[in-house]
Amino acid sequence: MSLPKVTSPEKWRSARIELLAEEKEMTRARDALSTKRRELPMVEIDEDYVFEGPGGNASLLDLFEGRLQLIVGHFMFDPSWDDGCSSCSAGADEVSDGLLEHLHARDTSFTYVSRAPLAKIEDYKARKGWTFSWYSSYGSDFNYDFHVTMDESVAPIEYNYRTAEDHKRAGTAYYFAGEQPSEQPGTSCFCATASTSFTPIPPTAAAPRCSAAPTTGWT
Amino acid sequence: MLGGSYYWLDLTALGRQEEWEEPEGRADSARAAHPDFAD
Repeated sequence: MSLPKVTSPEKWRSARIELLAEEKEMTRARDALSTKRRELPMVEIDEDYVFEGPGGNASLLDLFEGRLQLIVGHFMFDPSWDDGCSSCSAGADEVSDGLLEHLHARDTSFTYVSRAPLAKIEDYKARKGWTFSWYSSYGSDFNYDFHVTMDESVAPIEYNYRTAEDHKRAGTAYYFAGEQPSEQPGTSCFCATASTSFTPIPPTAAAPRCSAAPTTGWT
Repeated sequence: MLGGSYYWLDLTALGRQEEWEEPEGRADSARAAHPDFAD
C-alpha cells in the first residue's frame, strides 16, 4: 500500500475542502435516511415472548428496564455452540458502560438476545468479561419472528425483509445455502406505549403495548 | 463522524433526541412520526 503523496499546505487545503463537500453531502443524505427510518410505521407486538435472564424469566417489556425505548442486539449464538459469533463478539466488545449511560439518558435500554440457553450465554459472557444485559430466547419464537434464526421447518425464512423466493429472483439465494437452523445478526428497536402517544410507562403498567419500530438487518 | 450512541439512537423511533440534532434544512422533523395504532 502506497502512502499519499506529499504536497504544499495550499494544495492540501484545496483538496481537503473539495472532499469536505462530499462529506457534507453524505452526512445530509444519512440524516435524511435516518429520518425516513424513524418515520416508518410501527407494529404492535402482541406475542408474549418469554426470555430467560439472570433474574429468571422476563417478558419483552421487562427488557425495557422501565425506559421508553429498547434496542435489542440479535447476537448470533446457536444453542449447539459453546461460544458466541466472533463478529458479534467484536461488536459487543465496544458496548461500554459509557455508551449505555448515554443511551439510558435518552430513555433507551440496550440488551443482547440470543437463542443459546442462558447457561451458555452466562459462561461466554463471563469469559469475555462483559457486563451488559444479555437474555436467552431459547425455546421461544422470538428469533424466528424477527428473522434472525432461519429454519424452514419452524417458519418461512426471510432475510432482510425479503423471502426466499425474492432472493432467488434477485440471485441472492446464497443467503440460504447453508445448513439450517442458521443464525443471523440484526438489531430491533422497540418503543413502549400505553396509549397512542410516546408516554413512558413502567414495566408493570396494565395493558402496556410494545411496538417494534425500525428493525434493521444487514444489506 | 458517526459513532457511539448516535449510531444506535439513529435506529430508534425517537432518534438522537437533541435540539440541534437536525439543523434547519437538513432533514424533516425527528418527531414527525407518532405511534398510532388507530389505523
